[in-house]
Amino acid sequence: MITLKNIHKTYNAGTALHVLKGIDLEIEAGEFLSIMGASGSGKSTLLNILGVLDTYDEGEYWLDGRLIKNLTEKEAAHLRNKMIGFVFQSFNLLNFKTALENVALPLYYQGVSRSKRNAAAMEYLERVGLAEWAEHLPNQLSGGQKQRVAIARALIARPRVILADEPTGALDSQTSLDVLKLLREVSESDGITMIIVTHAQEIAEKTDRIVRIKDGIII
Amino acid sequence: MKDLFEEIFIAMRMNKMRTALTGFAIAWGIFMLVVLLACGNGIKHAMEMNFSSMNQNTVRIYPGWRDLPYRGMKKNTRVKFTTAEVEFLRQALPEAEAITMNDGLWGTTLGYGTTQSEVSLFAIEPELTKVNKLNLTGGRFVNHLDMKERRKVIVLHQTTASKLFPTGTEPIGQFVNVTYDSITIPFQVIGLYDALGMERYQSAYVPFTTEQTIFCPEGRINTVDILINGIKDEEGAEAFAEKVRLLLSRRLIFDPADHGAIWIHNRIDQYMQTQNVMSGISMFVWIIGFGMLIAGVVGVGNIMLITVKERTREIGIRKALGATPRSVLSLVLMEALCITTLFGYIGMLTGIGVSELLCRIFPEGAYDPQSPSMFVNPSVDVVTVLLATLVLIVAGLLAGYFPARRAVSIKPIEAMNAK
Repeated sequence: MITLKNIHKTYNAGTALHVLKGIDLEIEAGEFLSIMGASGSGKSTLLNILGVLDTYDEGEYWLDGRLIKNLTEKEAAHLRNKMIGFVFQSFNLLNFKTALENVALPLYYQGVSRSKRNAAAMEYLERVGLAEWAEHLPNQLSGGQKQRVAIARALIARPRVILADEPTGALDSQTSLDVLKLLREVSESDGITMIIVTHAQEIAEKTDRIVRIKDGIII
Repeated sequence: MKDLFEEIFIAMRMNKMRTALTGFAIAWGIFMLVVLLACGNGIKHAMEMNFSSMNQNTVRIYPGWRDLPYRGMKKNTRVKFTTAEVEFLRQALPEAEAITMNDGLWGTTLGYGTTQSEVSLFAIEPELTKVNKLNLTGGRFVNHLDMKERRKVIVLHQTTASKLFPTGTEPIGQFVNVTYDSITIPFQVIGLYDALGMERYQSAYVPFTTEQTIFCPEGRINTVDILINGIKDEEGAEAFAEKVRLLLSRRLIFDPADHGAIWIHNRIDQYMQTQNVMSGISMFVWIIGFGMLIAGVVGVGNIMLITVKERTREIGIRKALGATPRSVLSLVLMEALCITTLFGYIGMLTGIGVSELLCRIFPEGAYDPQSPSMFVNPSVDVVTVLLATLVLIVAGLLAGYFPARRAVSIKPIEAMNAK
C-alpha cells in the first residue's frame, strides 16, 4: 500500500534542519501499525509526508501504486479527500458545526448532496456510537466523544489509509483504550491501513507492528 | 452553491457586530454616491429649466464701439446699427431661420389710474417668438398688421399686469400709459405672457415700428437675434459668428479683428459651456463617491484579512479534509462579495429612497420661473443604478481578493498547529 524509498526532508528556517535522513518503509494494505519516536525525532514530519500535507526533498513515496511527487495543490487536495483519513490529537473539529456536519465535511468537498452526505454521516456516527449526539456542537462533547466524531469523519470518505497523530494524547487511559479498540475494529472490518503515531509505549504495544524512528532514520 | 452561501452566512453571523460595522461603511459609501449623483442631476435639471426660455441656437448681435482705427474711421467711434443693416443681414444669411431686431427702452413707466410700474419696454417684431419662448397666457402677441399700421398695442408680463390692474379687472383691452423720456402715450393691452426660466425682468413688448415712430425717429436698434439651425458644436458656432462679423465689418467699416465694434453673443457657446460644467459636476460627484466606496472596500478587505487570520486553523482543517484551493478562494471571496453587495444594496435602496424624497420636495411641477431654483427633480436613472451595482461587485471582489489569496496560501500543517 505504502512504499517509502530513501525519503529526505530538510527544513530551512534560518538554519537548515535535516529532519528525515533517508526513510525506507514498506506498509501492507490493512496493516495496523504504530510509528514511535521521541519529540523531534521526525515522526510528525513523516506523518505529514504520508498524509500529502507536506512535500519531501529526495526519494520516492508510492501510495497505492501511485508516485506522490510534484502534485498540484488541487491534486493533493483530491488525494487527501479520497485516499487518506486524518485523526488528530487535538481532534480538529470545526466548533461552529454540529457533530453530524463535521462528519459530513469530507463529502461536501466531494460535491455530494446534502441529504446524501447527512445520511452517510449519520450512519458513521451510529457506527462510533454517537447517533444521539449528532446535533451537538463539539464543545458539548467529552474528549473521547470528540475523538470518535473525528474517527467517523476520517472514515466517511472510505479512505485506504488512516493517519492518526497521537489520537489518544488528550484522553485518559480508559478512553484511550476505547478509541484504540475502535480504530482496530474499523481497520479490520473495512480493510483500512491504520498508521498511529505515538510516543506512548503502552499504545504502541497494542498495534501489530512498531516502527521506531530516531533522529530522522528508522531503527 | 447553497452550501457555500450557508457557510458564508454562518461566518457572517459569528461576527455580527463586525459584519454590521464593515457593512455600514460600504452602505454609507454607496448611499452617498447615489444621493450625490441625484443632487448632481437636480442641479443639471435646474440648469436645463433655466435655459429653456431661450432658444439654444441663437446668436445675438449688439452694436459697440470701434476699438481700432480702420479705413479712416477713428478709434472710439460708435458703430451705427440700423434697420438697413438688418435687411442686409437677411439678404446675406439665407441659412438663418430667422433674423429679428429689437430696441429696448429701459426704465419705462407703465401707468393705470394711479398705479405705476416700471418695466423694460422692448420694441420687437413678431418673429421674436421664434427666438424666445414666450408663453402666452391670454390674448395674442404682436402681429404683422400691428407692425404695418404702427398700432399702439402692448403685451405685458402676467406679473406686471397683476401689479397694475386691481383684481377683477380684465387686463386685455385696457389702456395703459407708457411713459419714456417724458413722452406719455396710451397703449392698449393685447396679450399677457409668462416667461419660462430665468426671466427676472418683466419686459413689455410693443411693435417695433410703433416704438421707432414715437420714441426713436433716428432708427436705432439695440440687438439683432439670429436663429440658426444645424450648428452642432462650439467650433461651428464660432465660425458662424466670424462670418457675421466679417460681413458687417465691410458694411459698417470696422476692422474684422476688432471684437469691440460689434458684440456677438453666442448662446450655443454658452450652452456648450454649461453642458461642460454639468459633466464636470457629474465627474466630481463620481470621484467623491468612489473615494467613499474605496474607504468601505478597504474596510471590508481589512476585516476579511482578520477573519482569514482567525480562521487559519479552520482553513487548515478544511484543506486536510480535501478542500481545493479553489473552494477556499471562493469561500473568502464570496464572503467579501456577499458583505459588499448585501450592504451595498441596502445603501443603494436608502439612497434611492432619499433622492425620491427630495424629488417630492423639489418637483419639476413646482418650478417657479420668478425665483429660479438651483435644484429641480433630483433623481437617479437606471443606468446609474446598474453602474453602481457593477461598482459594488468589483469592489467586493477587490476587497476579497487579497484575503482570499492569503487563505489559499495557508499550509494545513502549520495552520493546525497554530493554537
